[in-house]
Amino acid sequence: MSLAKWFKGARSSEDWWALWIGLFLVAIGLIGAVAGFDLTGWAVAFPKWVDIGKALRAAHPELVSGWASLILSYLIFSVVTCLGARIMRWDVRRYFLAWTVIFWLTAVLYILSRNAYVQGTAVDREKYGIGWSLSIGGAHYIVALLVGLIIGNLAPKRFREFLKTAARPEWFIKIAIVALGTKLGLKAIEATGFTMELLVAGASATIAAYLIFWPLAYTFCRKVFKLTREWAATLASGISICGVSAAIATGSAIRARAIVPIMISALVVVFAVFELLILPSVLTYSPWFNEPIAAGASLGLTVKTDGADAAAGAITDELMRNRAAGMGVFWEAGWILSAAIMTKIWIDMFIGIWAFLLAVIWVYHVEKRPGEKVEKMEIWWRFPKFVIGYFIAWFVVMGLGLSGVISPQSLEWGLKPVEGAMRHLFFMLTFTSIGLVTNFRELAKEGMGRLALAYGLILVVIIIPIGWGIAWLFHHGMVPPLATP
Amino acid sequence: MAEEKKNEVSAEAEPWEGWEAGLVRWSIIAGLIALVILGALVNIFIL
Repeated sequence: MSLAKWFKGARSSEDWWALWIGLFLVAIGLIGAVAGFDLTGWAVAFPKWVDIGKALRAAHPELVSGWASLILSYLIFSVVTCLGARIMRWDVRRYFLAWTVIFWLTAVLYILSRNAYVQGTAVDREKYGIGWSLSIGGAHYIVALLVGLIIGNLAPKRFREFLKTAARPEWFIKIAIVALGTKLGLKAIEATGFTMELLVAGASATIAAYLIFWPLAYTFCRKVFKLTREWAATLASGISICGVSAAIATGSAIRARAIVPIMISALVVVFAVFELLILPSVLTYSPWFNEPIAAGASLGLTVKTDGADAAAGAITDELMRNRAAGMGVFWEAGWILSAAIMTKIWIDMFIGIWAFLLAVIWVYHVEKRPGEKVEKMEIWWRFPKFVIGYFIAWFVVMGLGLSGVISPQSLEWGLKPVEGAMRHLFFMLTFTSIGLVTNFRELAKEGMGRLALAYGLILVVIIIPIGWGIAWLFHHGMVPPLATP
Repeated sequence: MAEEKKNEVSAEAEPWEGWEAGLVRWSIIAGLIALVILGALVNIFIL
């Protein structure tokens, strides 16, 4: 089998470029850790502030000033993403200009919403010398999303279309998820057991998505809403598996008309945004608060785009930790988010196999062309490549640390800026971009009402209740480790 | 074209066939069995 077949899309697809950029950031962190040369400390972080002069900080403050780190972050991420854009044959000039607007808009929103009066917890009040605070952890994500939605739905059409050139939520979140793999690796060095528990328990999501959600959603579409097989299969994939990419992969596998995955994808994105806005608060201020890891895992089962799932996980992580901190319990950051991502990754991983199976079923049973061959390479071509980066980052870091090849302290020094400052910035860019690309006008299209009703009912009657049940069954009792003082 | 567009979603659905029912039934049965097995293992070794 030629190598070219395995690397099909390696230069031209956003998914592969998430892998390349993510691994590049991890690599410079590792090289820095080994060489003792600071290759990642320039990354800009956005601490909570009372004095706006302290709203920016480099990941390694001794390296450069806050403002310098912001400019360096803009320049370096511009070069890296523009390189990807160039090789993917996008209009680089247009991408760069739109990226510049989105980056600086995101930076301003990040700075403003990190004000201690907005995000400070009860514990922070003494530290910052303030008498009150709203304790809205994750406010920066919500602000970025809302501002993105306002611009994406109300700004002049030309400006909206211009910004969409660089509003790439799936690309940014996949880069962030590869970086997140290093966090799991670093945590596993200290607590190998818990990360492995999350990994194993998360496998329940695969079974739920493909063998429970999909057949139930398909049956509901066919028998209750009387949709054709083409619409039913694509909607079932979109709502059960991985949202946009599942809808597109299914549409391709069953040779659906182009309009089918396009309309389903629009629904997926719109509903995911509603879930992102509603679920974190519902989970935090309900009995789910007592099951934080199960709550995180439930998001991976119920929120159907990688971007919105990670976004919802990040907000839930902040909200729940803030609420717990108010009760004197200090959970380590990132575990609730990791649970959300783990279940999503377990679902994402098998989309290639599912697309292959659907193609076989369609060829043999629906279109009745038994002589036709379905390429097994479809499984690999559909496999989300950023997942490879996530696992490489995790297991390489864990392996190097546990084996003693690199000391955990050196790994932490080189990689903390990657899994911390860089990942948070790409998360913020994701939130802004989700808002910019989500167009509520899509719901007004012909036929959308019936699809939206089907989607909404399946989500509320099948996906969310069963997803919550499975998340609880497989994760109840798991609690994030306590933060070290 | 407009008429075709109008019927994008509302086209008449194919009749529900036996192989569809079979696939759905066996998927759900397999899923429930797999969840029970995985759940037992998670319960014993993790939770």
